Amino acid sequence: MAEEKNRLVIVASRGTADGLYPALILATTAVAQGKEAYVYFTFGGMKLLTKQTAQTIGPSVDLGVSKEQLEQLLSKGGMPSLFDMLKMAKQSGVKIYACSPTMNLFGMRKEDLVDVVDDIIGASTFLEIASDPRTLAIFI
Amino acid sequence: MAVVKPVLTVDVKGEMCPMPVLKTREAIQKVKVGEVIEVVATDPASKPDLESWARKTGNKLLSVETVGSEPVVYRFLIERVK
Repeated sequence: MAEEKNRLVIVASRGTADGLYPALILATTAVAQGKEAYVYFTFGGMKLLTKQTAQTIGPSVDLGVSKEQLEQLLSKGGMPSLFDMLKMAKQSGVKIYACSPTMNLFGMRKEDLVDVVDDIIGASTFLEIASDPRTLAIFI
Repeated sequence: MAVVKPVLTVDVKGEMCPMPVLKTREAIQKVKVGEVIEVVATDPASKPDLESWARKTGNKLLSVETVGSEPVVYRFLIERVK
Protein backbone atom coordinates (compact mmCIF):
# COMPACT_ATOMS: atom_id res chain seq x y z
CA MET A 1 0.00 0.00 0.00
CA ALA A 2 1.25 3.47 -0.81
CA GLU A 3 2.55 5.47 2.11
CA GLU A 4 0.14 8.25 3.12
CA LYS A 5 1.77 11.64 2.78
CA ASN A 6 1.61 14.58 5.12
CA ARG A 7 -0.46 17.40 3.78
CA LEU A 8 -0.34 21.17 3.76
CA VAL A 9 -3.64 22.93 3.12
CA ILE A 10 -3.68 26.68 2.68
CA VAL A 11 -6.64 29.00 2.46
CA ALA A 12 -5.61 31.96 0.32
CA SER A 13 -8.21 34.59 1.04
CA ARG A 14 -6.43 37.83 0.25
CA GLY A 15 -6.18 39.41 -3.18
CA THR A 16 -2.85 41.09 -2.52
CA ALA A 17 0.70 40.07 -3.36
CA ASP A 18 1.66 39.80 0.31
CA GLY A 19 -1.14 37.30 0.82
CA LEU A 20 -0.66 35.26 -2.34
CA TYR A 21 3.13 34.93 -2.51
CA PRO A 22 3.41 33.31 0.94
CA ALA A 23 0.60 30.89 0.05
CA LEU A 24 2.30 29.78 -3.17
CA ILE A 25 5.81 29.72 -1.69
CA LEU A 26 4.70 27.48 1.17
CA ALA A 27 2.70 25.18 -1.09
CA THR A 28 5.47 24.67 -3.67
CA THR A 29 8.04 24.14 -0.92
CA ALA A 30 5.78 21.58 0.76
CA VAL A 31 5.65 19.57 -2.47
CA ALA A 32 9.43 19.85 -2.78
CA GLN A 33 9.65 18.33 0.72
CA GLY A 34 7.52 15.40 -0.35
CA LYS A 35 4.20 16.55 1.08
CA GLU A 36 0.87 16.92 -0.66
CA ALA A 37 -0.17 20.56 -0.92
CA TYR A 38 -3.52 22.18 -1.58
CA VAL A 39 -4.36 25.84 -2.00
CA TYR A 40 -7.99 26.81 -1.61
CA PHE A 41 -8.53 30.23 -3.15
CA THR A 42 -11.44 32.17 -1.73
CA PHE A 43 -12.73 35.77 -1.73
CA GLY A 44 -9.87 38.14 -2.69
CA GLY A 45 -7.52 35.25 -3.34
CA MET A 46 -9.71 34.25 -6.28
CA LYS A 47 -8.35 37.29 -8.15
CA LEU A 48 -5.37 35.16 -9.09
CA LEU A 49 -7.57 32.60 -10.81
CA THR A 50 -8.81 34.71 -13.72
CA LYS A 51 -6.45 36.31 -16.23
CA GLN A 52 -8.08 39.75 -16.10
CA THR A 53 -8.21 40.10 -12.32
CA ALA A 54 -4.72 38.61 -11.87
CA GLN A 55 -3.33 41.69 -13.64
CA THR A 56 -4.88 43.95 -10.99
CA ILE A 57 -3.21 42.31 -7.98
CA GLY A 58 -1.02 44.74 -6.07
CA PRO A 59 0.60 44.91 -2.64
CA SER A 60 -1.62 45.67 0.34
CA VAL A 61 -1.53 49.17 1.83
CA ASP A 62 0.52 48.13 4.86
CA LEU A 63 3.40 46.97 2.66
CA GLY A 64 4.08 50.63 1.89
CA VAL A 65 5.26 50.21 -1.70
CA SER A 66 3.51 50.76 -5.03
CA LYS A 67 2.65 47.93 -7.41
CA GLU A 68 5.49 49.03 -9.71
CA GLN A 69 8.01 49.21 -6.87
CA LEU A 70 7.04 45.78 -5.66
CA GLU A 71 7.36 44.32 -9.16
CA GLN A 72 10.85 45.82 -9.46
CA LEU A 73 11.90 44.42 -6.09
CA LEU A 74 10.56 40.98 -6.95
CA SER A 75 12.26 40.80 -10.32
CA LYS A 76 15.52 41.96 -8.74
CA GLY A 77 15.24 39.04 -6.35
CA GLY A 78 14.63 36.58 -9.19
CA MET A 79 11.08 35.98 -8.02
CA PRO A 80 8.59 34.90 -10.70
CA SER A 81 5.31 36.81 -11.14
CA LEU A 82 2.34 35.57 -9.15
CA PHE A 83 0.79 34.13 -12.27
CA ASP A 84 4.00 32.23 -13.12
CA MET A 85 4.24 31.06 -9.50
CA LEU A 86 0.72 29.72 -9.80
CA LYS A 87 1.63 27.78 -12.95
CA MET A 88 4.84 26.51 -11.31
CA ALA A 89 2.85 25.38 -8.29
CA LYS A 90 0.43 23.49 -10.48
CA GLN A 91 3.24 21.86 -12.48
CA SER A 92 5.00 20.76 -9.31
CA GLY A 93 1.83 19.03 -8.16
CA VAL A 94 0.06 21.53 -5.89
CA LYS A 95 -3.70 21.05 -6.06
CA ILE A 96 -5.55 24.25 -6.86
CA TYR A 97 -9.12 24.71 -5.68
CA ALA A 98 -11.52 27.56 -6.36
CA CYS A 99 -14.23 28.60 -3.93
CA SER A 100 -17.73 27.99 -5.16
CA PRO A 101 -19.55 30.60 -3.00
CA THR A 102 -17.10 33.31 -4.07
CA MET A 103 -17.83 32.46 -7.69
CA ASN A 104 -21.57 32.72 -7.09
CA LEU A 105 -21.22 36.06 -5.30
CA PHE A 106 -19.18 37.66 -8.04
CA GLY A 107 -20.87 35.98 -10.97
CA MET A 108 -17.77 34.11 -12.09
CA ARG A 109 -18.08 31.09 -14.34
CA LYS A 110 -15.88 28.05 -14.64
CA GLU A 111 -14.84 29.18 -18.14
CA ASP A 112 -13.46 32.42 -16.64
CA LEU A 113 -10.90 30.56 -14.55
CA VAL A 114 -7.35 29.84 -15.68
CA ASP A 115 -6.80 26.22 -16.61
CA VAL A 116 -4.76 25.35 -13.52
CA VAL A 117 -7.83 24.87 -11.34
CA ASP A 118 -8.33 21.25 -10.28
CA ASP A 119 -11.83 21.70 -8.94
CA ILE A 120 -14.42 24.13 -7.65
CA ILE A 121 -15.37 23.21 -4.12
CA GLY A 122 -17.32 24.52 -1.13
CA ALA A 123 -16.80 24.55 2.61
CA SER A 124 -17.77 20.94 3.19
CA THR A 125 -15.24 19.47 0.75
CA PHE A 126 -12.60 21.84 2.03
CA LEU A 127 -13.18 20.77 5.63
CA GLU A 128 -12.98 17.14 4.67
CA ILE A 129 -9.58 17.72 3.03
CA ALA A 130 -8.41 19.85 5.95
CA SER A 131 -9.53 17.59 8.78
CA ASP A 132 -7.30 14.66 7.90
CA PRO A 133 -4.99 14.03 10.89
CA ARG A 134 -1.85 14.28 8.75
CA THR A 135 -2.82 17.75 7.62
CA LEU A 136 -1.48 21.13 8.57
CA ALA A 137 -4.02 23.79 7.58
CA ILE A 138 -3.23 27.48 7.54
CA PHE A 139 -5.19 30.57 6.63
CA ILE A 140 -3.45 33.40 4.83
CA MET B 1 39.30 10.86 0.66
CA ALA B 2 37.82 10.66 -2.80
CA VAL B 3 36.78 13.95 -4.32
CA VAL B 4 33.06 13.97 -4.98
CA LYS B 5 32.27 14.99 -8.50
CA PRO B 6 28.83 16.52 -9.01
CA VAL B 7 27.00 15.39 -12.14
CA LEU B 8 24.83 18.52 -12.25
CA THR B 9 25.14 22.12 -11.11
CA VAL B 10 22.20 24.23 -10.02
CA ASP B 11 23.06 27.91 -10.19
CA VAL B 12 20.52 29.92 -8.18
CA LYS B 13 22.74 32.89 -7.40
CA GLY B 14 20.60 36.01 -7.03
CA GLU B 15 17.39 34.04 -6.54
CA MET B 16 15.48 34.00 -3.30
CA CYS B 17 13.25 31.63 -1.39
CA PRO B 18 11.65 29.36 -2.55
CA MET B 19 13.67 29.04 -5.77
CA PRO B 20 16.83 27.40 -4.35
CA VAL B 21 14.78 24.57 -2.83
CA LEU B 22 12.46 24.17 -5.84
CA LYS B 23 15.33 24.03 -8.33
CA THR B 24 17.31 21.67 -6.11
CA ARG B 25 14.37 19.31 -5.98
CA GLU B 26 13.95 19.49 -9.74
CA ALA B 27 17.63 18.71 -10.24
CA ILE B 28 17.79 15.83 -7.76
CA GLN B 29 14.98 14.13 -9.66
CA LYS B 30 17.05 14.23 -12.84
CA VAL B 31 20.01 12.32 -11.40
CA LYS B 32 20.36 8.71 -10.30
CA VAL B 33 20.40 7.53 -6.70
CA GLY B 34 23.98 7.81 -5.42
CA GLU B 35 24.87 10.68 -7.74
CA VAL B 36 25.74 14.10 -6.40
CA ILE B 37 24.55 17.55 -7.43
CA GLU B 38 26.09 20.90 -6.69
CA VAL B 39 23.98 23.93 -5.75
CA VAL B 40 25.37 27.45 -5.69
CA ALA B 41 23.25 30.15 -4.08
CA THR B 42 23.51 33.61 -2.58
CA ASP B 43 20.28 33.58 -0.56
CA PRO B 44 21.39 33.32 3.11
CA ALA B 45 18.22 31.31 3.82
CA SER B 46 19.34 28.66 1.35
CA LYS B 47 21.54 27.08 4.05
CA PRO B 48 18.87 26.40 6.69
CA ASP B 49 16.30 25.73 3.96
CA LEU B 50 18.35 23.14 2.07
CA GLU B 51 19.42 21.51 5.34
CA SER B 52 15.76 21.20 6.29
CA TRP B 53 14.80 20.03 2.81
CA ALA B 54 17.46 17.31 2.95
CA ARG B 55 16.21 16.13 6.36
CA LYS B 56 12.61 16.06 5.15
CA THR B 57 13.29 14.27 1.88
CA GLY B 58 16.00 11.93 3.15
CA ASN B 59 18.62 13.17 0.70
CA LYS B 60 22.13 13.65 1.97
CA LEU B 61 23.73 17.06 2.33
CA LEU B 62 27.41 16.14 1.98
CA SER B 63 28.89 19.58 2.47
CA VAL B 64 28.17 23.28 2.64
CA GLU B 65 30.91 25.78 2.08
CA THR B 66 30.88 29.52 1.75
CA VAL B 67 32.96 31.17 -0.91
CA GLY B 68 33.87 34.84 -1.32
CA SER B 69 32.11 37.88 0.08
CA GLU B 70 29.63 40.49 -1.14
CA PRO B 71 27.77 38.45 -1.89
CA VAL B 72 28.69 35.33 0.01
CA VAL B 73 28.14 32.31 -2.21
CA TYR B 74 27.00 29.08 -0.60
CA ARG B 75 28.07 25.87 -2.29
CA PHE B 76 26.19 22.70 -1.42
CA LEU B 77 26.92 19.13 -2.42
CA ILE B 78 23.88 16.91 -2.17
CA GLU B 79 23.64 13.19 -2.81
CA ARG B 80 20.42 11.66 -4.04
CA VAL B 81 19.53 8.92 -1.56
CA LYS B 82 16.13 7.73 -2.77
